[in-house]
Amino acid sequence: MRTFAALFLPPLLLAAAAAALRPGEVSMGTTILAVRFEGGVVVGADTRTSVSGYVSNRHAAKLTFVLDREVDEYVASSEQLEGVMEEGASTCVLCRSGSAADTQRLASVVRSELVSRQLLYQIRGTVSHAAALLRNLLVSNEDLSASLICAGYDHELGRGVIYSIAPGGTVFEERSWAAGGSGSSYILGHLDSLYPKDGNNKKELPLRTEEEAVEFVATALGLAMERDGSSGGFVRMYVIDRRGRRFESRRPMGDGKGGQGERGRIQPSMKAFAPAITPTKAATDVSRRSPAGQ
Amino acid sequence: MSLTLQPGGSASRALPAASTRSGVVAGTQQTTRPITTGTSVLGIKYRGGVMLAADTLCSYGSLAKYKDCRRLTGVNSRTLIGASGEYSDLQTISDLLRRNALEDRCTADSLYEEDNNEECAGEVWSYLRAVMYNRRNKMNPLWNDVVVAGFQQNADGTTSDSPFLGVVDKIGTAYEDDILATGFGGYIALPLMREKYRPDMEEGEARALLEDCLRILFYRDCRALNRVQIAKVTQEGGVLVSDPYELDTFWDYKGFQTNKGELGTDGGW
Repeated sequence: MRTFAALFLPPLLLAAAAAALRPGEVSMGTTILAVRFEGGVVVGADTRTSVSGYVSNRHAAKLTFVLDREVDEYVASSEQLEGVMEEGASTCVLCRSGSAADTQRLASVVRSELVSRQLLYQIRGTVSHAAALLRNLLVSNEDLSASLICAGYDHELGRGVIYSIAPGGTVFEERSWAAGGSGSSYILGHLDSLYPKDGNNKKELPLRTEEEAVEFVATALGLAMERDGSSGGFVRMYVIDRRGRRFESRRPMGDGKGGQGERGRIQPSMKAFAPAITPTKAATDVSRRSPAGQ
Repeated sequence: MSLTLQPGGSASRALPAASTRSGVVAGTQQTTRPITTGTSVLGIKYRGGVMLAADTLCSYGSLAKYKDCRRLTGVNSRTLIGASGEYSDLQTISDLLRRNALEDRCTADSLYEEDNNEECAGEVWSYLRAVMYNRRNKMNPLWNDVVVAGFQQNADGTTSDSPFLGVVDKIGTAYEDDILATGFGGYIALPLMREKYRPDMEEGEARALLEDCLRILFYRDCRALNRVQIAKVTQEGGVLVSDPYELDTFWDYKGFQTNKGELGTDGGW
C-alpha cells in the first residue's frame, strides 16, 4: 500500500518510507472490506494483483484463512486432543493488502504458529490470538509492507470480530466495518453514509442479516473497483459465522446509467458503422483461449 | 509565477516558431511528468481503409477519473489522430492541427470541396514529427504517443488509394506500419494483431480484432477501461468516429471460481 499522500496524487517521488513497496515488488493495490452482521462477519476483496500497471493476476485470492474449523478438527483428530473440540471453534481470515510477498509470508507464519499451539498446548486459536501474533510480527519487522484486516468468528468472544492492522503493527478492533487497500479511500464516504462507524453506542449492529451484509460488501467493492486502477476483477467474499465459512463470488454490475463504463457487463451498440462482413470467430478471436495452465 | 495568455490561444505554444531561442519562456513551466493520462491506442490497416481504437478513460494517477474522454479525433476529412499520454497535450495537438486545417481551407485557391486542399495523413504525420521533436529539444515535450491514420495524396492533390498509418512519439520518433499500438498495447495487443493481420482484412474482421485486443488490454492493463471507441478512415466515407460503447468481458473460467486461500484446498493465493 502506498503512503497516504500518494493515494490522492499521481505517483510522486516517495520518500523512503519504511513500509513502502520496494522497486519491483508485487503490490496488491487492492480493496478489502469486512463487515459485521448479527452472527458473524462477511469479508470481501477484489481479485487484481498488479506490477507497474500490468495486471499479473486477474483472479487473485486475497482472503487467506488462518483458522478453519474443519481443517483444525482434522488436525486435532487424535486421542490426546479429544475434548478440545467440544468447545466452539474460531474461523479467521486475513484480508491482505500491500506487498503480496510480505502478506503471504505473514499469513503462513501465523497459520503455522496457531497450528503448533493447538498441538503443543491443546488450545484452540481465536481471531484475537491471530491479531496479537500479527501485531507482534509487524512491530518487530518494520520493513514489511502489509496492511491487513483480520476478521472472523471468535469462539471465546462468542461473536464476529474485526481487527484492522496497519503496517507498523497498530491494531484496532472495529465495531461494525473495516476497509483497506488503495481502493478503500474512494468508498469511505459511501460506507460512512450507510453505516456510521461509531454510532451512538447502540447495542445492535447496523447490518442484521447475512444477505444484507453480502449485498453491502459486493456493492461497496464494486464502487471501489470502478475508480481505483489497482483494484479490479470480480468480488470474492466469505460469510463467516460460528458454523464455519461459505464462499461467494460476484461480478460487479454496472449501475445501469450506461455510458460510464463499468469494469464489466455490456451491450455493444456501435451505430456509426456496421461491419461489412460478420467477423468469423475462429479467424479473430484471441481472447477466448483458456488461460495458461488450465 | 505570473500567468500570461499566449497570443493565438493554447495551440500557439506548440508551434516551433513561437518559443524563444533560449528554450525556456520566462514565466512558464516545463512538462516533467504526465498528470491526466490515456492509455493505449491501437491502429490497423484493412482493405479499403484504416481503423483506430482506444478506450475512453483518462486516469489521474491510479484514479479512473474521467470515463468519457475522447482520444480519437478527426483532423480533416481524410485524417484521423489518436493519442495516449497526457490528455492536455492531446488537446493542444488537436487544436493545433484543426487550426492548420482551418487555415488551409480559408486560404486555399479554390473554395470547392472537390479541389482538395487539405493536408493528407502523411503530411500531418510529418508535421507532427517536427513539432514533437522541436518541443523535445526545448526539454518541454508534448507527452504523447500520437497515431495518425488516413490516406496519402496523389501528385494532383486527390486522395490516393493507399491508406496511411503512422505514429509519432513524445521525443519525435516517427514511423509507419500496417499495425501500430502505443503504451501497453505494444506489449499485449501488438503480438496478437501481428498474428491475425492480413492485408486484405475486411472491416468487420479488423473491428473484431481490435475489440478483442481492447478486451485483453482491459484485463491486463490497470489503466484501461472496457468502454471503447473505434474510428475509421475510408476513401468514400471519410473519417468516422463511433460513439463509445462497452465491451463484454469474460470471468466464468472454472479456475477463477475455485476457492483459493482456503486451508484444505490447494492453498493458492
